[in-house]
Amino acid sequence: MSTRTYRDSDLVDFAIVGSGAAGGVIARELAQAGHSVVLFERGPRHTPGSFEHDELKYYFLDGLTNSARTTPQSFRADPAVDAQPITSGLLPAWYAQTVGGSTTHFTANFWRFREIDFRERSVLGPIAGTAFADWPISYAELEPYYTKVDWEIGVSGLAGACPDDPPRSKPYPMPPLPVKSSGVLLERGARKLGLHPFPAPMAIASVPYRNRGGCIHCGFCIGFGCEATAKSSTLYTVIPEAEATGRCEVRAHSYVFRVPTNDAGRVTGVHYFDAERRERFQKARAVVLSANGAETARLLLASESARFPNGLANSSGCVGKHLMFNSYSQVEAEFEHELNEYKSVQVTRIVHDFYDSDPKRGHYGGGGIDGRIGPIPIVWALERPPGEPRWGQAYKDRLKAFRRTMMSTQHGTSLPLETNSVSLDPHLKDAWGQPCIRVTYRDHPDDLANARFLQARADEILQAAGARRTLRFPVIPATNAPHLLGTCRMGNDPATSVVDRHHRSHDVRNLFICDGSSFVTSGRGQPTMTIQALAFRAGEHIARFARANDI
Amino acid sequence: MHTRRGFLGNIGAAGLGAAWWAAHAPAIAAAAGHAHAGMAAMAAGAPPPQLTTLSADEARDLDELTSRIVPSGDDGPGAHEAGVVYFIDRAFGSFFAEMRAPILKDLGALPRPFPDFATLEATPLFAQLHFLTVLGLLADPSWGGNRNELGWRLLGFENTHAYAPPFGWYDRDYPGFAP
Ligand SMILES: Cc1cc2nc3c(=O)[nH]c(=O)nc-3n(C[C@H](O)[C@H](O)[C@H](O)COP(=O)(O)OP(=O)(O)OC[C@H]3O[C@@H](n4cnc5c(N)ncnc54)[C@H](O)[C@@H]3O)c2cc1C
Ligand code: SF4
Repeated sequence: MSTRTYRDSDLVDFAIVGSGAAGGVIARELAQAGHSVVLFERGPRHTPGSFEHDELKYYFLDGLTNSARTTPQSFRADPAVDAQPITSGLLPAWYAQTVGGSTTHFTANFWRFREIDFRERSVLGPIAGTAFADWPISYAELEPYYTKVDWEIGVSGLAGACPDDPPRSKPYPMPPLPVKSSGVLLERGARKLGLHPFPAPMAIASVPYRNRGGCIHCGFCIGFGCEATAKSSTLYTVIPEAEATGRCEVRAHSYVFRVPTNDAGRVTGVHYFDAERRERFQKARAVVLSANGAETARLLLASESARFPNGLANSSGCVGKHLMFNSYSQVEAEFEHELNEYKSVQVTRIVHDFYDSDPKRGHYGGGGIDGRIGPIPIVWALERPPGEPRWGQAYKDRLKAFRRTMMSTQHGTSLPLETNSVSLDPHLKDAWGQPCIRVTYRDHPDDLANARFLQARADEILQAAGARRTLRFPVIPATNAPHLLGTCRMGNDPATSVVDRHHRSHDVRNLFICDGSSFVTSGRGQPTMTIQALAFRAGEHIARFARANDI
Repeated sequence: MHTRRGFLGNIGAAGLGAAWWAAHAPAIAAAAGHAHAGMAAMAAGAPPPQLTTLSADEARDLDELTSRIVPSGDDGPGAHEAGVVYFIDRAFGSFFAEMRAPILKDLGALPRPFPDFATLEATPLFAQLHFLTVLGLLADPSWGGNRNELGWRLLGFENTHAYAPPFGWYDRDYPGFAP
């Protein structure tokens, strides 16, 4: 599909690292602005027909994701101890490694942040022991870009359905997806309790949209690529549009391992391994890192030099720090009749009544509650909470309740802590001989309290909906996450942040960073809408700097 | 088999752009054909698979233990009928090869007759057997278990991959969203 290719020796305008939520958007913006772009992606490129509905392959053999077998990571909760290497199974920082990044296989819940998310520190005051801070930009500044995401990436939803929705300049381009039984029940229970459930905004085409098919409700959504092209991944939206300019090459199977700097303190391109693991170097006038909140930090730390001994663009010491996962909890509910939650998309109704933090709760935090499919058969049958039968007739009876069962997931805030981080493991190397990611993470007590609070509310909703039984999964400290936020935070002060309000690194004029790592606070759990709004905005500013010869 | 046929049919119904369809139909059809051939062979009563990595004794032991996790009964088949042991046999020879040695070692160390599961449940062996039983029951039949989709049928999971609303009992008479 790539329409244009460049040689390593060609001096391209931009080398962009990572073709996910942010990288895809920025590639399109810069290519459409007239620049030559190489979009680097570690993983392969899929077509709609090459995705498979194979739960074993995608969930247990790393069919789409980064793999512990070739790229292990390590984990520790306590920064004072050695981290445990993770060489099989689920990695602490988990993402899809393919063109389109995690937008190929994600759930596609697409919540805008609200005004409060950008200035919560000013409203609530400081929180001791944390790096809780305001963003350097406001909701109003980002609103036009949220609208761009709605229309150019493609979001289905119903404007005005939520009484507390932040202001929006345009309605959604597509109607909400058809409600599922989980959505009807969540809505019924929430209404009984005087709450305000509403149709979930989803980055999924509910009807055919801009050359893509509408959702066929296949049910293999979370963790799978969309064979119907309905999921609004960058693979199906902005990336082909970037290529259509004739100026953007998508270079798959290309693992960027180092971003070198010259004597003038500027980056000169990217060192990468190609599909045959040969070391190569692409020259570029400027570099944009969009490899996600784990890999972007890793790459900066691994690109240390005499000039940047603590890692590239890390004079603040903030690179890798303030990692935020979004707090998380779950309730399962069994009903009398069939819901058949394995059909269609994950989520069709959500409740945002507990979005704002409320001092009366005794902890900081807020979030959203959804009604959804539990994961499809295997993961559901494996992940039985403690105390539930796991063998014998009682277990078999639980398995037979599959069609009558739903989940509610609660998504909440995570406080930015200096001790929660991505760093380089001092011992572990990947199959390319590169230092591996070490994740250090311990939820702030308020994050766990918030998760429990939201879980109790969800439980009440499901009981009010008439559940025969509900079951709270234990709220435990997180050891892995698909939300990777905050590790190169944005700010006006070069001493306490990595990038400025335009995503330019404070330390290096021709190095830009935009992806989940740019976040200052975590929001309420669905970060990607905001990652992409930031990316549209960053793309516009970077193009403006290039026009003004200011890179 | 309806594995992908429903999926293909519904893609048309969902109104995909003709250009998209022309570009991708061959790949999807190939994938569907592949799945279809595998299923058809299974349904046509192909000869029972041979054990490749397990001895007959190991297979018998694993069959007994996994059948205690998901028993067969009047209410429907269990791990035995779904061919979980053949799935494990294959997994040990290929995609989960690293599990083979520790499991067989623990298995060999178990007293006979096997202790009750109430005492086994806390052991690593149980956790691994539970994992393999679930995968052997519910993974795509092309991995060697879930024979005749028995595992999926136990759950009531339809292997159709494309649906239209209403999906379940509760969304049947939904009047539409009113703010
Ligand atoms: C199962 C799952 C469900 C999710 N559900 C939701 C949801 O409902 N709503 C929501 O908002 N978010 C969800 N997320 C999170 C969402 O997918 C991420 O927040 C988002 O994709 C992050 O965007 P990004 O641009 O930061 O990075 P990514 O999308 O992760 O893209 C980074 C890309 O960079 C590539 N890369 C990394 N390192 C290198 C390197 N060194 N060289 C070359 N390429 C590299 C990666 O392979 C990847 O393709 C989900 C994630 C998962 C895994
Ligand atoms: S449920 Fe819809 S959006 Fe999700 S993968 Fe299937 S067709 Fe695509």
